[in-house]
This record gives sequence, structure tokens and C-alpha cells, in this order.
Amino acid sequence: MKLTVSKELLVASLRRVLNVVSARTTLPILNNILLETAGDKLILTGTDLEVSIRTEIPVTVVEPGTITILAKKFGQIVSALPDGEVTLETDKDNRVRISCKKSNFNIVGMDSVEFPRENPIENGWSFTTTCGDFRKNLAKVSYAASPDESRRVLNGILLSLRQGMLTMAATDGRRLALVEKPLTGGSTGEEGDVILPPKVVAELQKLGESSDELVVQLTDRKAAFKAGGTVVTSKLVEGNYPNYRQVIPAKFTASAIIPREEFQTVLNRVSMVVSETSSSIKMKLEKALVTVNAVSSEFGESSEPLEVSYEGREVQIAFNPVFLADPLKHLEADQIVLEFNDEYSPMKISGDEGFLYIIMPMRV
Amino acid sequence: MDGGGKKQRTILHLDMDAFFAAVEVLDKPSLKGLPLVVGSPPNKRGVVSTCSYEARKFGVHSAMPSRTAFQLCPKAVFLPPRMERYTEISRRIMAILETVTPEVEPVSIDEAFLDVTGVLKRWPSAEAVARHLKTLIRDELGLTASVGVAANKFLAKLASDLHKPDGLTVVPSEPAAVRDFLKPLPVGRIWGVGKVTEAELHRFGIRTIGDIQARTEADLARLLGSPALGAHVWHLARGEDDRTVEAGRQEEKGISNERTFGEDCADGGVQRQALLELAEQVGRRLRAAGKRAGTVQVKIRFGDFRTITRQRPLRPPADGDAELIRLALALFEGEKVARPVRLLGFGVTNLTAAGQGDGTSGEPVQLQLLAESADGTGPETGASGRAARTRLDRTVDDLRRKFGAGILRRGQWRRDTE
Repeated sequence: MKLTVSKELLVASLRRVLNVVSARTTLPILNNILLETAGDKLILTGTDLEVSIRTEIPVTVVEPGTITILAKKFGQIVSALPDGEVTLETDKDNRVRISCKKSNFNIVGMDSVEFPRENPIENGWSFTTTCGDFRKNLAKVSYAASPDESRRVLNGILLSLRQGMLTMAATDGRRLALVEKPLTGGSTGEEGDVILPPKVVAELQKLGESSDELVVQLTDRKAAFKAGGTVVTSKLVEGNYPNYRQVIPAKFTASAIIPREEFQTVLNRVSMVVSETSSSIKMKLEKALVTVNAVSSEFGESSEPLEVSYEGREVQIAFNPVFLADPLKHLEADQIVLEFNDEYSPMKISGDEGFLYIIMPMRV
Repeated sequence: MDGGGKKQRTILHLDMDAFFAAVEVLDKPSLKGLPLVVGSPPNKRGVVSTCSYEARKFGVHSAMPSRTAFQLCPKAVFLPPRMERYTEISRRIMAILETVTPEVEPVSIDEAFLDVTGVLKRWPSAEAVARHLKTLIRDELGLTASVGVAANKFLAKLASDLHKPDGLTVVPSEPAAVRDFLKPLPVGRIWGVGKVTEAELHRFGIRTIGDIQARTEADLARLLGSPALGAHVWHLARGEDDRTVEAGRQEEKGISNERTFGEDCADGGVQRQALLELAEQVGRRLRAAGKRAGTVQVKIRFGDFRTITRQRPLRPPADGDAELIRLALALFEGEKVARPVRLLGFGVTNLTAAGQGDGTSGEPVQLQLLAESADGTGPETGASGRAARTRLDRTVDDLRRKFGAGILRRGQWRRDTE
């Protein structure tokens, strides 16, 4: 293999694939990235067997070929090169000569035969959206996924496709975040549910420019996300996602309308006295007023009122402050709506179109 | 020094039986039943460090020149000491002792004093504590220990040596009974009475501890030509010793356990079962210490000795077998181990006192939106399920304490994905 490529392009493409390459792996080849030529393109691939990222950039191919090279070291070397055209050339001993201007490196590579490659997805279903929309919706739900690694299904994000509607949902068993939107970019094939592992969710947050078209392809076992010249492929979490619809109460007896940013600010301030052992805040609702207060034996107490639109009876509900504040950060609406029945039943938070959050109170 | 008016204490002295030799048998079971000598080879100058009970039958004992040992027992297997391995096991023994009380004073690599006075109210008797420790050491390490239970260090150490191996000797606590217990023993048994003092005492016809008890303190001081030595020996002869147990180690940072497979193991099912049992053993010790784990760690050593460790926080901190096992298996399976495994380890750190943040002590409780089993991975349901699991863990712990770890065995743990 021999080719020339601009340093700038190579650095940018390496940044995309390096994230997924683990330094701690039991399979040495996974420390490497795969370089291969295709026409007048160079394809770079990194994988941890769960998520694989493949990106292509235009290069000048002198001699087609393929090689794998230690990802981190290659990344460091390329970033340190002077700006200009970089030449990559392999020899029969799998060494890779990297040269740019007066710099020369001769780096040990490994044959590409053993590198695990992803087969392209066939026979699945697919839909098209934009990177910006997809990312935004993902951000509105992904914080609600469970961090408990032993509950794999709840670590992931549910993508559900039904009658032209895309639903994204995440829950840790104590709260549920959900976004439901009609697909405008069109979709093909069957309908179904898949669970994306947390790792790919993190990668998708970095994929493409906001306006780039994003094509999502799904099968029972894999998902692929294509934007620009990059494809992120991921295994899916096996298992059945819990029936989250059944935890959404059919009706509520009371509701309050609260300015989102002010509420968020008040929550952040009041939560300052919350400690690890007494991590709850109380929200007292009375006519046209909500008062948020927190008490901890460690630090003391705090409280702050906020004018809201509320006409119901006086009620006090306790929450984990993080769970209450999380959705507010990711919403855009000026006003949010709280709906509830009593202090021990699920409360609903809504605001942005298609968004829904259900949170369980704390019992004090 | 007579301890009169002072609070009655209960001290345990635990002494491993033929420790080095026992570890060698543990690592190489084919040595079992053979006379073993750990120490210098017989053709070199040097002495015996430890020998097995089979070798002792031939008159071999520690500190004897290896050459003499060879003459007494030509069939003995001589092995060089592996201090690193003994130290590793020793650390695990001390960790086991500290599950019962932090008041542990290691005396040497294979013996320690424990002051269990403060924890006795949680146990039926001091003897039960001793039995529990012996069981843990046998089940988790495959080794036997002899324990002496008494009101002070001197008597506890004396007692641990009386019925070796695998002994458990309780010295009565009433002063008169203590004196009767000591009466027939030779004076050489007294701490600080070496060959010279022993010969001195023999010269005056004092052979047993009872002979000393028959003398006055002043009398003894005069005979030995030293008031200090006289007082020391006289008080010990009456079973009086007020040295305290000096816990040398800082508070326990973690609890862990490891298992080395006899042959490198490539069977995923066997690996999972081993890890599950390790997690259970650690869970048992965690609960016995009244702690919860904030972090769990899994260690995997491959056939080529390459070793990896993976750890994850446990939020909220927990002490239940179900939580520990679930996370242990999740960490293990996350590694997609494809090569034969030599050793598996499981440990917990970031320990906090149990009873915090679980709602039993008045803190707010997060209510559940979904049943914990809704995703098919969580065990049972909600708070009542958790309480039931806690009761189950305690019951199993009790059964195992009474009847040994083998009384119950957990079946195959359900895979997340099944």
C-alpha cells in the first residue's frame, strides 16, 4: 500500500475512529486500526467488537493495499507531523513508513487478515433523519438510562419504530424519559424495537455535522448509522425492553405550569445543601406558588419560592434533585408542565413537543 | 498487674497448623500425607522452618538442622520455603480475622491475637467466634488453624497450642479454674521462661506451674535473683496478664478472595460458577463485618500470567449476594474472555457501614417506577423483594456458620440475555 493524504484530513478522520479503540483489550489486534484503500479513498476502521467506526477520506492512491497499525501511537505520530502531505507506505514485513516533509517514521504494523470486519447490513429496516435532530432527541432521553452495568437492558436506549413514528426511551426504573416524533425523512421495511448500548449512544453524539443527513439501518442484531463518510455500527443489547407505556399514568388530577429556566436555577441553588446520605428535596405546591426546600443533617437547610401557575390543593412531594433537574437541562421550551396525582405516585414533566418524562417521588 | 477490677476481656489466639507445610500441600495435593520439611535441603547447612505432622512423628521439629531431620526421616520431602506465597495466604487469613473484629494483632506470619470483647454480644459465645473463624479459614483457604480462647493473651496462646492441629481450647475465666488449668503444665510453658530460667527453677525443684503458684512473689523474686522477672513469672503462673491486643493494621480497606484453578480453565460455565462462589464468600464476609461495598472488582489471570482487573462502582452501596454476583458476572462477561484462565478473583472496596441510605434509618427512599425485574435482569421486585433477599442472605450466612459453607450451593446463575 502506498498513498498520500493531507495531514489535516488524516488527523480529523483518526479522531473519529480512535474513540472506539480500547487500550485495554484481551485481543491485541483490537488495539490497532485498519487502513485499507478503495478506489481513490482510504478507509479507516476501529472496533471494540461491540461498536465499530469506519470512516473514509479522499487520498491519492499510488499502490492499493491494506494494513493495521497501533491506533494510539499512529494517532500521536500523525498529530505531531508538520502540516502538509503525508505519505503512508507499507513494506513486505508489515512496517509502515510515515513521512511528511523531513519527518520519517517506520512503524511496526500487523497483517490485516485477523482484523474483525463488519459485514454491511442487509434486509433490515431503515429511516432517514438529520444528525442534529437525532442527537438532540438522544440527549433528551439518554441521561435517564441506568448506570448499573449489570442491568444491560436498562443501560441502553430504546429505539422503536411504529407507523412512521420514532420513539426513543430510556429508564433506570425510577424515571423514564421519552421522545416521540413522526419520521419526516421517510422509512422503509418492517417496524420494530432495538436497544442501543450506551457506548454507541456516546459515539452518536459526535457523529456528523448538525445538518448532515443521517441514515439509520436496523436489524435484529445490529444497527448502523451513516452520516457523511462515516459509518458507526453497533451490536444491540439483547433482551426485551420493559413495557414502559404501562408506567405512564392515564390521567392526572393536578397540574402546574412552571418557567423552565427559573425552576432549574432554583433547584440548583436549593440542592447545594443536599448530601450523599440525605439526597432529597421537597417541592411544596400551593396557590400560584412552588417552594423548593432541602435539609441535610450534614450541611443545614435551604429554601426558595417561585411563582407558578397552580390552582390545586396544597401538596408536598419529595424528589431526588438530580432526577428532577436532569430533563430541564435538555429541554428548550420556556414553560414546563408538571402533572401529578399525589405525593407517592408518578409525576409527569412535559414541555418540548413529543417529550415526556415520568419521575417517581421519594418517600420521606 | 493482677487485672482485679478491670473489665473482663475475651482474647483469641489463632495459630495456623504447620503453616508452610500446609500451604505446600494445598498447592500440590499430591504431597498430602507425606512427611514434609520446609526449609534448607538436607545436604546443606541450615534448619527446618516448618514440618508437617507426618514428619513430626519421626521427631522432626522446627529450628532443627535439616541434616538431623534427614537422619530422623530419610523419606521426608524437603521443599524450599516460598515466603511470597505464604505472605499472600497470611494476608488473606488476617483479612478473614478482621471480618469479626478490627482488634486483630498479627504476631507473625501465621498467628494473631484477637480481642473479641466488643463484638461478643453479636455471638452466642466466644467459642462460636473461634469456630466461625476456623470454618472460614478451612472453607476459603483449605487450611486448618488452632485457636485458644481465654481472658488474656498468655492463656489464649497457651491454649491454642494444647490441642494441635485443628484444635479449639477454651480456658475457663474464673481465677481459681485458671490456676487449676495451669497447675500441671511445665514451667517452660510460661512466656519469658527460656532454657536458662527453666534450669534455674528446676534447680529449686520447681517443675510445674503449680510449683510456682505455691510460692510467694517475694520468694520467687529471691530465687530468680530479679524482682522484675520474679513478678513477671509469678503473675503469669497465676494466669494474670494484662497486655492488650494492639491492632497493627489500619481499618480494612477491602475484602477479596481468589481462586486458582488446578488446571487452566477454558470452560465458561466453570469460570462463572467459580466467580459466583467467590462473590458469595466475599459477600458473607462483608455482611459479617457489617459493611456495604461501594466498588466491586474482578481479577482475571490468564494461563500466561497476564492479569487484568476490572472494577465498577456499586450505587447505592450494597452487601447482598444478588447485587455482588450480578455485577461480578457483568464485569466478567464484559471481558469476552476467550483464553484459558488460571485464576479468578473477586473483591469489594469503598466499604461503608451497613444501615446507611437503605431507608431503615429514616432517610428518604426513592420509589420505583418499574419493578426491578421488569427488564428481566433485576432480581425479584421492588423494596419487598430486596428485603426478602436480605433475609435470605442472613439465613444462608447463619446456616453456613453453623454447618459449613458446603451446606448450600447456589445453582447456575441465570444469564442476563437468556
